[in-house]
Amino acid sequence: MSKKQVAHICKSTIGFFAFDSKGRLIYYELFSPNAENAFKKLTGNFSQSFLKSLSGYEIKQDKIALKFMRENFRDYAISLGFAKTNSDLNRFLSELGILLTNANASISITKDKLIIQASNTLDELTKQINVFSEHLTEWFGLHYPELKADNEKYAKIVSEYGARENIPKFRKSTGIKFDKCDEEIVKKYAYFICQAIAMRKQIEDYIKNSMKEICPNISSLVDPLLGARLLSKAGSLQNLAKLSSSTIQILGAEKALFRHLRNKKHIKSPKYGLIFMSKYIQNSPKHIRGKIARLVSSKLMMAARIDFYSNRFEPKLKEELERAMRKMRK
Amino acid sequence: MKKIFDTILRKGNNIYTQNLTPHIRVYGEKLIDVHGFQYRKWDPTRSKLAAAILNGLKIFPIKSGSVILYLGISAGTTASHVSDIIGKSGLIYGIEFAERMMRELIKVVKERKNIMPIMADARKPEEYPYVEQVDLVYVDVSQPDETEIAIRNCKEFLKPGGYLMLAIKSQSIDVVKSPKDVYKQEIKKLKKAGFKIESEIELSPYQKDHCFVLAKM
Repeated sequence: MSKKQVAHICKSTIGFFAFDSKGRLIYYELFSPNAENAFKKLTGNFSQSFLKSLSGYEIKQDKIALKFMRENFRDYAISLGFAKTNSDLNRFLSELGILLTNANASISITKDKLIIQASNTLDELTKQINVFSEHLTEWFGLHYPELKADNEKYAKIVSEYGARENIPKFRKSTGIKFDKCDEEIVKKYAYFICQAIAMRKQIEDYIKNSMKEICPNISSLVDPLLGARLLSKAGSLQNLAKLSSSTIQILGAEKALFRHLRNKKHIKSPKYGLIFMSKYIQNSPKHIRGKIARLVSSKLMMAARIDFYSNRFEPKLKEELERAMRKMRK
Repeated sequence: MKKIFDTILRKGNNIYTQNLTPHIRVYGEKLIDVHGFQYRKWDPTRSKLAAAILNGLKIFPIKSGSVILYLGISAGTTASHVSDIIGKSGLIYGIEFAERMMRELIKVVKERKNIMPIMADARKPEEYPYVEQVDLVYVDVSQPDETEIAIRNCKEFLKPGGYLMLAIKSQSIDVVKSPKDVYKQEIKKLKKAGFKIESEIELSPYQKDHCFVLAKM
């Protein structure tokens, strides 16, 4: 029996093609020139009718076919009647690209992206609430400078009572008198701040709950809010799972790190970045904080990997961390 | 006002390309009308190619009808001007990995119809095997292994005698080394891979620590 001839086959954006080893076109099956149809065929398998027509050949799907296809792509597209002109072909490819991309893009969005957005919003909201509260203190302070309370309480008092005369324990004040309309607007503004503070609380709870669901191990080691910040800095849970523990250690201290890298002799490297917010580091004496940071980040690195690749809860991590902490503190 | 490279309008220190989609802006750029045609201002602080042209790029291989592989197409700022130049008979295969940027790009693609967006990793050409042979490869990916990515894609897709445009961001290759050393090292890699360097342009003052390389395979 004589040896079968080889047919090199490939998928292209305009159809299925088969070449012999010298690059001559043996057989082809064009898609119909509408993007949706081509999208289905391109993401699916070779059609049965195409493979059947090559039954006399030994079929190989390889780079050789792709190379032949690439070299004469536009010639084939036009001479075989797929498209009349280059611009028609381009219009088709552009539409096909949008379909392919949309199919890819929705797969690549995972739930950690939601947490990252929430975490960024939370940070920004906290900043804004501080600014708002400062303005409120200045504004209401013209009326009643003697009122002292922290931001949250201050806004609550103003939104509840309005003018100073209504506030319990009011005696006298050096501030100016408010008219009815002055009082109303400040009161409304204070109410708006109270709302923002309530919103912040809701976002915090949302992050905590979702973090516990998506990253159970990270949340068991550190505050879920800190975990969310780490996610946000890394870009995604996948990225965080790929980082080394030393990178996690100084995540958020990039400025200090690069200052050190540029000038190694005079500037020491940072010991911790975002993870400084962890209670393990903050509650430790200063001279061992660097060591603790290394310890925490190494456990975080493992936690991130378990969270991303298996998402099962591993209570051992926390036990190990605490045991090591006790040893170090002795 | 004069034409450079047949397709770009130069007026003092500003350059313009003829708008493929009249009255539509891509990134809030200025539009002007000249002899009945509408032109879009090309901002050199936002596009490395524009900065390279203003800093004296001598050869400009992008022509009407060119087919281009663009790695790191991002939101399509530079790509929109390239799309103006190549016109409806040319095509850009735009590779981008970030889903966020892709969303912006799709808006541009829907208007222009001469860009094929592909969401893939430029390190893995096998993810987009259906890209045809191209006249030019434009690389702006800001990755430490940018040059290797460029070489790999050129070997796969660039036609013999085609051009490579590579925007090197020294900060993303090595923050510690001086930019000049980084450029030297990357260009050496290109030469070793068989490229002929046509020009090498620093992009200051428009872009800090960037170098634009035009090479021929």
